[in-house]
Amino acid sequence: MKFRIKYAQQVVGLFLLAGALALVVVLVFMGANQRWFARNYVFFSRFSSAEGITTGMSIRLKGFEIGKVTGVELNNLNGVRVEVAIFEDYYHKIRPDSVLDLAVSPLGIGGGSMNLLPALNMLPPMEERSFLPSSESTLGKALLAQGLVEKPMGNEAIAGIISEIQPTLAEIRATAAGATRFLGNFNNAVEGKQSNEISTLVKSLNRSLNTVDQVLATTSANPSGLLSPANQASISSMLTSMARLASQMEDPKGLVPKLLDPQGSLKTLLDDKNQLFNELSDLLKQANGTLAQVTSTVADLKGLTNYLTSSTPEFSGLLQDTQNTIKKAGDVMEGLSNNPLLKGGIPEKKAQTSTIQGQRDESF
Amino acid sequence: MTSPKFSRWVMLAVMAGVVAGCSSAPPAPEGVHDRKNRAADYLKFGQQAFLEAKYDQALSFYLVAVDLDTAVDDELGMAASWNSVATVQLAQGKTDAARDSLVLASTYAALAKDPTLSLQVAVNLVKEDLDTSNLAGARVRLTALTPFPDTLEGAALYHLLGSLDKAEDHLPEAIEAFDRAGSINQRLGLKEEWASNRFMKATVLSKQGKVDAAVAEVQAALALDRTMENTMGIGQDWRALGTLALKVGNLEGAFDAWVRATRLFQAAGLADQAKKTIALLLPVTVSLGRSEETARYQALLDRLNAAP
Repeated sequence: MKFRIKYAQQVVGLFLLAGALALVVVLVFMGANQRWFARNYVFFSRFSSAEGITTGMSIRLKGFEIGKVTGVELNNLNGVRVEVAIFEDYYHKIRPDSVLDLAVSPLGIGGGSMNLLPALNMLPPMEERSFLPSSESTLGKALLAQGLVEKPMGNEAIAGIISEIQPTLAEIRATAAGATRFLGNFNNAVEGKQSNEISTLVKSLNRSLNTVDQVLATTSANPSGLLSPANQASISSMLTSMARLASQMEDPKGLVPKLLDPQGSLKTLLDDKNQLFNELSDLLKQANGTLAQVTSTVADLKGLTNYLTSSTPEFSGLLQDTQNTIKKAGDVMEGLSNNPLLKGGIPEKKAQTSTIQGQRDESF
Repeated sequence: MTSPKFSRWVMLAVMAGVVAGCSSAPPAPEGVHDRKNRAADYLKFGQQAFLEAKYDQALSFYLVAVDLDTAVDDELGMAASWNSVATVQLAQGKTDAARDSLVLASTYAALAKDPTLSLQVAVNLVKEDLDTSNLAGARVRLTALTPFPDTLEGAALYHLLGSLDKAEDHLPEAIEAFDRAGSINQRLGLKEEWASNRFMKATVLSKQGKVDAAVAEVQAALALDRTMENTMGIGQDWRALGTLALKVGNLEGAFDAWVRATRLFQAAGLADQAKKTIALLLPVTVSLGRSEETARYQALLDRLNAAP
């Protein structure tokens, strides 16, 4: 029996209508969000340069976006005509004597912004397409100077910073004066011009040094008094040994003549046309080379150790992955071995066969 | 034509069978075969290494198999493993060690009461007799084992019988034995063994003065060995072709064949075989007046002799 849906066309039409309606709703919400349907009030201003002014730039009042720059053009007098659109919600803020101010970062970092400096009067808003003076124009400067407009936030901030600097400088000055006073006191104490802990300490040290001088004078006058009988015995023994060594060195058949003899050991060792020296030099070079190799090997080992240390988590992960894979493979194999069609094909015990080689002798 | 009702019942029965078969676990095994199976794997690894003429490696694999089988007291496995160890030792020329291994192999084969394995051990015992020129002992063993079966082991025994007949100068009997071994191996598809049969037949034909027939047999053996990548066999074939060429006075042919054999043995790391071939090659280079080749191969021989 053929399957049919009753009112299929109506259902499809309903879905199409619903889709179209949803699209319209979405467009309306988007437009409202993007102020497509809002009314803007256009004003114009004049600046000496378009530097820092771009179309689409926000007009701000106390941080709120109240409009946008909609056009920038060079007029016949080489001035810059700037057209701004103020949002409907903020139109009432555009009172007569309001000024547009292009604020530039004092440090030259980041872009500037266009701010509205609202007039302090409570007059009704200006008519659309009126002229809004810029803060750099003569009119704008005059309005600012007369205090008819609210001053920009940026200047107040800088003034605030400057006002903060003043007390800091005063504190630094006071600290410097204190340090100077302290150094003066310390100097007086060391020179003994003032009585305090440091001067007392210096005097005490002076007395101690005088005492040491006296002790040294006493001991130099009577050196034997310093030596105990045990020390004297040790020194005597040392002197005896030194006397014996001296006599051996004086002996014509002693150690020194044997060493210095033209046919002696030293002569034999040294009179070899630098052979011993060269061998020693070679040995040292070899030892040096070996040490360099050892150093290199140690560096390699260190690198390897570092690599292994850094790779340990990777190895661990790899091992874990391998274990998981083996487990899964085991599960698959178990499933396969459970399959009745394969049961006969997987022997439980493998046959062990020994290797037999065909014997060949090459007697032709 | 079957009725639809009957077909439906058959279908249901088949599906029930499949479901029951897939879901039912196999019966629990009677015992554990983990280590015995690992030993079997090591024996296979060893056979592969042996085929590649890596005797030391093959021996190490076989010894691992011995340990595994010994650890579980598997007499059958121990016999197979020790017999394989003996095979390598015979190939290395260590006949004393091979004899000890064969004693163990035959003991365990007897305990295991496996006739096939007993024959495999017997093959190596006869081979050991032949290697030590104990021809009488080999004859006694072979006679005791007759009639030989038409199996791998039987073919190996026919082959050894042919070698014994050749050693005793019974050349027609030797050829007959090699032919019988060859026919069994050909039927079983054991090309490597068949190559050995043809190689040995060539040696007998050569002794009979049939050099052309001998060359044909060696070339057939070479083709089979190449098919099986039997390194040692290929080298022996080339060396044999050189020997046969020299026998008919073809010095250039002998030189070319032995150079190929030398290169092969060198590439395979078979120093002893390379030295043996160079020893044959050097007089030929002298006869051909190739002094540069003489110096080159003499230097190579010196290097091989000096190597530990």
